[in-house]
Amino acid sequence: MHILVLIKQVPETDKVKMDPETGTMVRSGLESIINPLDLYAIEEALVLKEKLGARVTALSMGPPDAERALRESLSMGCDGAILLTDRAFAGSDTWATSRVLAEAVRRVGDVDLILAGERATDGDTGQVGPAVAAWLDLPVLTYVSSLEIEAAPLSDTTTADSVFLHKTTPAAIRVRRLTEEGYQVLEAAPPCLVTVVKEIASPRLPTLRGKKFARSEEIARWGASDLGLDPATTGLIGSPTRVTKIFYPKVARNGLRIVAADEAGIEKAIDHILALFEKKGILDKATVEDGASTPSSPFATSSALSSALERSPIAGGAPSPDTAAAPAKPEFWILAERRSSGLDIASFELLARARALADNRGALLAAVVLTSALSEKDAGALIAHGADRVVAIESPLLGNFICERWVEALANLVRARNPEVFLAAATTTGRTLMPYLAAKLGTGLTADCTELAIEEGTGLLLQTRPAIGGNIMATIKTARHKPQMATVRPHSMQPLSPDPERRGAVIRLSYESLTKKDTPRSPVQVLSMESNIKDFENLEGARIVVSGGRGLKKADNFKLIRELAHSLGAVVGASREAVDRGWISYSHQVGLSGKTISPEIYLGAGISGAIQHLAGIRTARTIISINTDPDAPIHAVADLAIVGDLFEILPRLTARLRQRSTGAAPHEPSILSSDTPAAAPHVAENRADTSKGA
Amino acid sequence: MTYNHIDKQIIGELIRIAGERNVLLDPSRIETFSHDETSKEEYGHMPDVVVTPQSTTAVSEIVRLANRARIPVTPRGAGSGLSGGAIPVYGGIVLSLEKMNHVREIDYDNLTMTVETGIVTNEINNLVRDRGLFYAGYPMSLETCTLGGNIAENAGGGKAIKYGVTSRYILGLEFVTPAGEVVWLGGKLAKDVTGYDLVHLIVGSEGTLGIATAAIIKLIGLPAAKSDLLVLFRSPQEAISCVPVILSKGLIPTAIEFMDRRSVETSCAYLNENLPYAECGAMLLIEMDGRNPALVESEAEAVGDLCMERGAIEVYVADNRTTQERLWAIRRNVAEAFKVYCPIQSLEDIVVPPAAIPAVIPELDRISGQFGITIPCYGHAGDGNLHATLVKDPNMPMEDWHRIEPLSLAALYEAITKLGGKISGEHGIGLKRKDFMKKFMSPTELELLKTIKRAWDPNLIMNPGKIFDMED
Ligand SMILES: Cc1cc2nc3c(=O)[nH]c(=O)nc-3n(C[C@H](O)[C@H](O)[C@H](O)COP(=O)(O)OP(=O)(O)OC[C@H]3O[C@@H](n4cnc5c(N)ncnc54)[C@H](O)[C@@H]3O)c2cc1C
Ligand SMILES: Cc1cc2nc3c(=O)[nH]c(=O)nc-3n(C[C@H](O)[C@H](O)[C@H](O)COP(=O)(O)OP(=O)(O)OC[C@H]3O[C@@H](n4cnc5c(N)ncnc54)[C@H](O)[C@@H]3O)c2cc1C
Repeated sequence: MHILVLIKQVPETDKVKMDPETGTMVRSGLESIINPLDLYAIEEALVLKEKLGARVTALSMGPPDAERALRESLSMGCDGAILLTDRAFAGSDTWATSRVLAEAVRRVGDVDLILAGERATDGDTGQVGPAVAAWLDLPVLTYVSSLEIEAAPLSDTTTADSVFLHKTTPAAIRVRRLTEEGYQVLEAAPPCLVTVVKEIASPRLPTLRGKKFARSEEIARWGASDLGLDPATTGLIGSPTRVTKIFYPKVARNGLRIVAADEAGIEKAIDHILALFEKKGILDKATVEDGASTPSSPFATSSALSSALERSPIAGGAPSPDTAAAPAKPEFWILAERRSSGLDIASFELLARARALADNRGALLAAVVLTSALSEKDAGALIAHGADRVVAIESPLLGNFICERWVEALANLVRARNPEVFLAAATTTGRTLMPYLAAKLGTGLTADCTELAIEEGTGLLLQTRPAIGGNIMATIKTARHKPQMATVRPHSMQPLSPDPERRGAVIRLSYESLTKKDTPRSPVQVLSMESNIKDFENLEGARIVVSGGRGLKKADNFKLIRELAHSLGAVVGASREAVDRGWISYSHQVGLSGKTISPEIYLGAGISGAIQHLAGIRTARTIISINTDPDAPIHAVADLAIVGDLFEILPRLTARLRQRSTGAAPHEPSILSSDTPAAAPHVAENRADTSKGA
Repeated sequence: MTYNHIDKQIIGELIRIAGERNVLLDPSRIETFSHDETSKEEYGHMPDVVVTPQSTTAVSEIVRLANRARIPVTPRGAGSGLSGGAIPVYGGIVLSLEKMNHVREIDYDNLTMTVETGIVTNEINNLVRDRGLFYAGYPMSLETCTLGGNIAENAGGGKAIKYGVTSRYILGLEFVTPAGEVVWLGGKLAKDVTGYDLVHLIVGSEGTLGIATAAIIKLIGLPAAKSDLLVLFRSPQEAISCVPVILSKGLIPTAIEFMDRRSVETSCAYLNENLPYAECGAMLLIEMDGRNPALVESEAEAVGDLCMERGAIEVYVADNRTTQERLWAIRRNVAEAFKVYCPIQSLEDIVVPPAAIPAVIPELDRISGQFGITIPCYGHAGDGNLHATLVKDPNMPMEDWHRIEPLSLAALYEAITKLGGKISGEHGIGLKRKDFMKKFMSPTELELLKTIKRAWDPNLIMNPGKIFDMED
């Protein structure tokens, strides 16, 4: 078996310090290291090598000095290393990078498995893995947290090959993928490309023996000509996207600071936290249960929203597609995603954003859904929330997200309709599908945007996103390629109020008609979905997140966080320190190598606020910090900074919340008793007429 | 020992000298000055007043006043001490140097800095890092201690094998005697035998001879490269036996840190670190530094080879900061990991001849068995300075612990004295260990110490009740 590991050398973010006033990065003394997430990929490859016998080759594109990263991978136990380096590669975006990597994989030839880290900590796009797979027409499995290989029986010819240790030929690769709803269990036939998350393995340290081997080993260097690439099509010139502006976000929020050093201070702190909850309408939940009033919040959880939509009546009747005639207006598309409970709230947020952009550009806005079958209600809801048209690609084969299959259908549709803009939410699906699709279409893609705008004059899409752990913001344009594609950070915008009067066409297409294939066979099978796992929560979708860090001191104490979260109906988050110590599982980790979230309220207790952690919460609407250290960086980004002891504050805060809830609903000990709050009336009234077409 | 009380008039004088806002009386504000990093319950004592003077003149006048009025003065840095040195056992005045933190001069020609002693030690390094310089005398607590505290304790850091301890970097002192006189001792001099070496008598005197208000410290070139090795051994003997071999080859690590099996296990479990330590009976963490990365790397490799030749199970190498962090985290989190197990502990810093370390381990096993406590052992193997920490069994009642702690400490000190060791290598005697001085120091030596104390501080106002009791 031959495993290829894609690694990137990145500046270490550990010591990155931001000047809180100017918001600029203090760059002095930055070292280069292997992208930390790639270490997990290396480790997994080495584990497979030990278990099954394999040759492991590390592959990296970068400046000549990236050789150091490759040597380190050798000293961990990789058998060989290849450096793709050429002046012509400089300035490559993810599209151009993945093309070079893919050519190199092709040149290597016999590869059974390609492993990569889910994303690199500097660019933070997660696009290169799926895009490489797209170039090579391989299945891609992203966000993989465990991997198993079923070996094919030994054959005589391979056993003789002792040098390359081609002992096993993999017959099937089985993985668990971490998604918003739980773990998806998939099986794929090799070769395929797998991107891994931290949970998969804990990387080993380089050994002295390995180090010596690494020094003696020759590292192959391949340039553009070795790969048969025309230098004029690589690097900056060959990149569809361009960074047009870099700026520093304002870091400090300069919120209210309360020192909870004594009894009075603690009471004051708790009062302020409760007042903030009240202001945010969080404590109203208790009254919703009673049916006494309606929630003041414009938000609804995805389950509440979809259950409400269930009840919304819409008229049916889909006109047939007219793919031949070119649309008069430019088209803007968004990908709408279905979850098991219904349409994802992030799709409605995306509609709100895209609506404004489309209006600005005078474009028609279409929501594209891939699913087994789209209900009229869901279609109606998309229209009511801003879509001019709903395009449903329907097939029993599309019920689960399988990247290659979805892309196959979408790519043809995009080619046929030529939309100007195509957006998806930066969910695990969006961040896998879009890079694969963009590579297939030969266009650029910007990851995880927090702002989008239309440039005056050119009408181009200005895509603004955080990079380097949220320490800089970059505005990116895709000037010469269509569609202009971007993924958008969920919860960075609110959905529009649904307009029952809105009309739009629902176009239903079959997968088969788009792919022109009779018996589509994907090498990937979905085996199961593990969605009711203990200790699994959907952080990305949470409205309130209560997180704990090393300040909790031990696993047991984490219950203080859980109890508070419970009494608020919040989801539990954690810093990496807490996750690394095994106090809570990885799916709860917030930050650069965990999840990026934008909840309404983020409360962090016993968390210092290292930049990697802050990278995950920059777009939280309100941040509350509880930390004994007055100089903890998290206080600087908090809207409400409590300098105090979490062990004194949390239990009392929880008690006060419980008291309130028993006050509000005497029969219920906890305000959390209902997980499905009543639907917001504005959603329930939602109505759309699709019969007339667009 | 009896001292006079602080009355309104004395307070008035203190206010006149130091200014109203530098005289603290409010019990809730001065409470933090009643203890250091030792157990507050066991050793804490409230001061009557805390003064935070802002000039040497003010310090001198305060001390003069105290000497005249027979009021005890306890100097204090950042209160990170581990021997109770900054605790005002007799009440009186705590003289906190926190506001005396100015840099008076950085002399790049002589490579010295003249700085007030209330500066947080790490600040010194922050100031000169960009010039490629550093102050090598710092202890591991560098972010939470002051230069004055380091001078008073003659603190030693994790890099003492190569760079030595605080005393090596103190060239001169501005000093306020117990009578309130201000004197400059030493200077920007590499050599100085003009009379007794008073500078180095003061270094390590735990604030009992007077107050250092400023110091001339030596700066050296900051090594650009470093490489760390984590070496797993089957036994402490195997681990320690490598130390003289390494040093005799002319390889000078900046640190050789030792961790016994219990420390390794507890820290790794706490960190969820999955090193294969099952067979490992002890670990060494060895750091090499220097100017030239290639040279550092090859020297580190030479050290690793020596360890392998002497039976090491595995040698891990870290030459970037991320992996180095990961290695050092194991060593640095030992104390915290045991605090999670049980926060009631006695953190010791015994010192033995380096070769005697393996012999210490069975003694610790014996003592922990005898008293039903846990004693992990980790620390600076290169200089024989070990943090053998007495950790209470979480289920042991506090009364039992209070009874057992002095007994087990006595047993520990007894054992290491037999091995040619001493009871404190870097944290000092202070309040915590003074009762053991009579037992483990020769009467003649102890009497010499007292003679010096009497000569310097006839009224015994300067940090009384520390190191030894005069009445004993
Ligand atoms: C490449 C890379 C990626 C990373 N990715 C992530 C990531 O995704 N997410 C992440 O979180 N980290 C990440 N990190 C790690 C990050 O650098 C920090 O180490 C980590 O966030 C620190 O976690 P912490 O705040 O829990 O711990 P610490 O930094 O140790 O902070 C603990 C805090 O608790 C406070 N405290 C202690 N006791 C109390 C008390 N009783 N009451 C109140 N407060 C108390 C302390 O003052 C301290 O501020 C990454 C690091 C690297 C190098
Ligand atoms: C986590 C941790 C790690 C540590 N690691 C180390 C280590 O590696 N090596 C080590 O040696 N120690 C270590 N220590 C112990 C402690 O930090 C040192 O002893 C330090 O030197 C004390 O400095 P301070 O400013 O906190 O002094 P304080 O605790 O305030 O006072 C210590 C003593 O110094 C006297 N003093 C303070 N300032 C003056 C002055 N200007 N003039 C005269 N006397 C003065 C006080 O009276 C007292 O006797 C550690 C402590 C902790 C908590």
